[in-house]
Amino acid sequence: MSVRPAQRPISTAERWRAPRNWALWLGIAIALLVLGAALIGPAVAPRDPLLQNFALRVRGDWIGPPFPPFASWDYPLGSDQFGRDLWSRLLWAVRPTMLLVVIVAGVRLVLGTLLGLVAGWSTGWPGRTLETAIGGALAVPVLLVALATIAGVGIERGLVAFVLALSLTGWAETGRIVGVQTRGIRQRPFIESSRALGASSAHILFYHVLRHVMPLLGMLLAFEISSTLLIVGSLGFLGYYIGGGVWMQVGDYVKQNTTGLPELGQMLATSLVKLTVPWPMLVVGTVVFTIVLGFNLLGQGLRRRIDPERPRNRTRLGRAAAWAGSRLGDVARPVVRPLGGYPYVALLALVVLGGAGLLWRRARTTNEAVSAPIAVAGSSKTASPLPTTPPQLWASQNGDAGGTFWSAAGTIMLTTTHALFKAPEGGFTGGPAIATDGTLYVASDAGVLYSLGQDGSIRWQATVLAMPVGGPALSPQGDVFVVDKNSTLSAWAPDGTLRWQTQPKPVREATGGAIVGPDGTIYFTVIDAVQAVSPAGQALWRSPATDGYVETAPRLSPDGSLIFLKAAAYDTQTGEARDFTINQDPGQEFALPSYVIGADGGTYYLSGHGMTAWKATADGVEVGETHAWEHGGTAFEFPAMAGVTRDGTAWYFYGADDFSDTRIVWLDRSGRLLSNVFLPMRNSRPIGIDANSVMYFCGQRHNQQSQCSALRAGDEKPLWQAQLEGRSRITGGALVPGRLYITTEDGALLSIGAGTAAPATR
Amino acid sequence: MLSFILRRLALIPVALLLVNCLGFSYAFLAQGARAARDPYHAAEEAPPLLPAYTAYVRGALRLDFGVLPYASGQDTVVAAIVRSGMASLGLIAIAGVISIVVGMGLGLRSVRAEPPCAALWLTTITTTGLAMPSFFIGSLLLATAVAFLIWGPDVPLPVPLGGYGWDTHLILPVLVLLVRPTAQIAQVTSGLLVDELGKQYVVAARSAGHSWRKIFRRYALRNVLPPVFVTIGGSLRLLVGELILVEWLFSWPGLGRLVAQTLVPAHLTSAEESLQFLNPPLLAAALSAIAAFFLLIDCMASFFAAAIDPRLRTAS
Repeated sequence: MSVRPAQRPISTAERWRAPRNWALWLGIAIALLVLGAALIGPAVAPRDPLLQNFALRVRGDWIGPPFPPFASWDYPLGSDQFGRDLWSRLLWAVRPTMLLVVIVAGVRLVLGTLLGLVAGWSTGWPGRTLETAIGGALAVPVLLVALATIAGVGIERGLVAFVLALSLTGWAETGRIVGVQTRGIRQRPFIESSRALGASSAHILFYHVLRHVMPLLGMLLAFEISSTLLIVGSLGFLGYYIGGGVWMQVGDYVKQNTTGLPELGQMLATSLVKLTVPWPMLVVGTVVFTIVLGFNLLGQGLRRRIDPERPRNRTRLGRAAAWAGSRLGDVARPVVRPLGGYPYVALLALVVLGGAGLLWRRARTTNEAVSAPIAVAGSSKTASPLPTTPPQLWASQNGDAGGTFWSAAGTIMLTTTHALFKAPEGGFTGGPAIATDGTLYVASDAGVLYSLGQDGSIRWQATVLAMPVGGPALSPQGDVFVVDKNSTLSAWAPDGTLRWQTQPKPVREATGGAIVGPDGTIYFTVIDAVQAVSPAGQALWRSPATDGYVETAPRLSPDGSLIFLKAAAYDTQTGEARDFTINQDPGQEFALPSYVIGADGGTYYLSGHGMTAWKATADGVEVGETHAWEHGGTAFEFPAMAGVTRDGTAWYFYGADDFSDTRIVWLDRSGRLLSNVFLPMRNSRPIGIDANSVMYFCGQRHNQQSQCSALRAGDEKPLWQAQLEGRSRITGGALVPGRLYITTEDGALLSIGAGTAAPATR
Repeated sequence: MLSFILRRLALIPVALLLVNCLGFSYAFLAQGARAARDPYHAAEEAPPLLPAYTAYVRGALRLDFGVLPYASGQDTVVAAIVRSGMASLGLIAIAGVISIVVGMGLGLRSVRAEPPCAALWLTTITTTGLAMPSFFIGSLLLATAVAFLIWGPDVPLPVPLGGYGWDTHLILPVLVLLVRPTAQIAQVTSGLLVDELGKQYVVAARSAGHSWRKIFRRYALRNVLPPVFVTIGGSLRLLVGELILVEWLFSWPGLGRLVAQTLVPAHLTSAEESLQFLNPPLLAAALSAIAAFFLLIDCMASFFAAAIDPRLRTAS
């Protein structure tokens, strides 16, 4: 290898006739594509990989998922069974999968090289043992070994399980090749002379043999990547993939474990739902196949390239690449020299360690700061952190940061309705937020934030970058925040000047409106995670939820130390997930558990038809009483919302969709059933609860006529029912002294009540 | 020759006992380790391995290898292994024979004499074939079938998309199974032949005036066949790995599916038989059956190699 035969000049004609190393070039091209997808895939993905869609209009027909490929430009490769865009999912999937594969391939390569060197060098028992081990490992299919290993180690161990499963016998192929090479080099004269000079075996192996094996390693790595991916894909197909999944609601009682952020193995595992719908499988399979093929070709090309028997007949491009390579080598030499001349080993170690570190960070899943520093538009004044100003009348969609719906208002008895304001275009995405001075802020899906006076006159309006999500939120200082579909958070001063706008990276859809803590920190939901943003617009942290797709806003604990997203709890300072074991019932996973903040200042845990009072203490959790009500078959679903009023009365609100009527159940502090009221109203939602424990809620009658109603805790009949004009869906509302505000999806802002505070009667 | 074969055959029972013990202990210990991690069973004491294994061995001596963990309790492990083993053997035999014939045929056809090299089409086919995961080939076939249903003539599908039966049910699984071994056998055959044709004796034979045909058939091919047989043995072993995927995809009730059900918990897949997961007697028996298959294949490969190459015979 070291002696190169004298080269005779090759004519141009010969060069063109000579076989070109197509495999190498094709392999390099595919490998570069994969690298590109791994690096920038998530950034260029057109849609969110977790965004579901259950209906798509194609040439006038509505179709359900999985959408076929090429049917719509929005879904170029079609979708999976949840209507999630396959193209975007693939772009997201390449990075984690290739990281895993490269790590495993690196481990296999290092193991194989070391063991192969020993196997080829030693003539005593270590060599013989390793020879047998290599033979044995090669005889058993890797898939079988991997399946057995993961079954024992447990898939929940993640990366460890995979590295163990795929490296246990996976090193053998590299070991065999390195062993054969070593045995060949062993016979060479320079080894003999080195030995004659008194070099030890370790020295010869490290300084001479390894150096001769080195050129093989690039080729071997490519082959290892290709074979590892093949097995990873097969394991994924059989249901073993890294990272587990998320639970997704597919019916009232049915949850399905499905894939969270995509990974190729995960995608294979869940892509074949029906034999007659093979295309998601086909699309993902094609990607796996292409990558396997690409690295296979790369390996073959490299093998041909380092083959000493093959004449060097380079193309112009090849010569340019070789020249560039040698220049690069000259530049790198002073850096590489101190590494003892083992840049490959160093590089490999770097790749393996770096990859492992990245995956580990990913697996830890907390404290993931995702946003780059924020571009500040307008005035860059930072908000003062202290909540010296009084709380707002109605700070966010569900009243306050805890989502208690509670308002200090007295009971509203006058049911005259006023149409206060009509948005010139679009409808309102959520209810209004109302400042201390009575100013209303409301966001429309046309991307406009309106600031309105109490009489409905426009004070100012501002443009939101994309469609807003939920209602606006107010900070204690009066700044107003709107989060939109691209998870951009915008902040305006009370006078309408834009304070700042975040530039989220990667762009993920926000699914729940913002809330603001007493210290001014803003929290909102991004599909399956909580994002925290500082009052100055700096991204603080993002932590994933236990649930798959959350459309509610997060809830802040009364003392501001914890934030909840359905059944997940986090420290507000660090974003670290907190695990409170409150309900031991193993079936609670299916009972839509959720943390609830009471207007009485307590924290509760909703699970099924009951709530458990609990309190976070310094050393864990103090679990109080659980009160549930015996539905006796009268409730067919779990409550859509639940809460506790100021005096400790619990309420359960059932039915917030097109198909179920409303049921409101009240339980007193001791868990006694006060009343169970059924109302023929659909798409309903609670709007607010006043100081006398009267709940105001709105929805649609069966003829879709919009209506609002008020029900006192424990009463069997509503205090009043008010028909609203029109048949549109209610998107939100707010309760302030003397007035109930309602927003609709066709852009009407209505007010119910006289506008002056009625005296509290209890 | 006879002693050579007898020695290899004598190794089989020893190896099988070892695999059986390994499979049983592994499943048993893994079950315990998993239970210890499960919050609802963490308090339970893990049962010791040794009494369980001696009980198993005692039963095995009475030819009672346990029953399948179903409610009925009628189906013995041996019956299940025999049943699924037969189903798998059928698939392997058909796919194996076809891939040997086609693979060697392609390999022989692709060899170019002067200068010795393999044709480009073979490299293309084998590279593509070896990069294709079985589940991908399977879904390609399924997609073709669905396309036929949608756009094809208005007749029922000529091949069933899954299920068990010694008729047209065989077509899809066999097609998927034979791709990779065929590619491998073709690649190795042609590679070895190309190497062989570059050797000096071929040049000598050419200059002595022998025909290509004679050199090829009489010398080169015979020299190449022993390693080709070893490769075929290896390919057939790798078929077992593919079998797991193919039987899973096409719901073929064979050994591969049984192994997958024993090694993948049901909640991760759509399999119904969750009780089989890490069942010690079942895993022990299934692994023993696969090991027996491996050892037999290995024996046959070395037997054929020795029968052709006198050097191997004398060496043994």
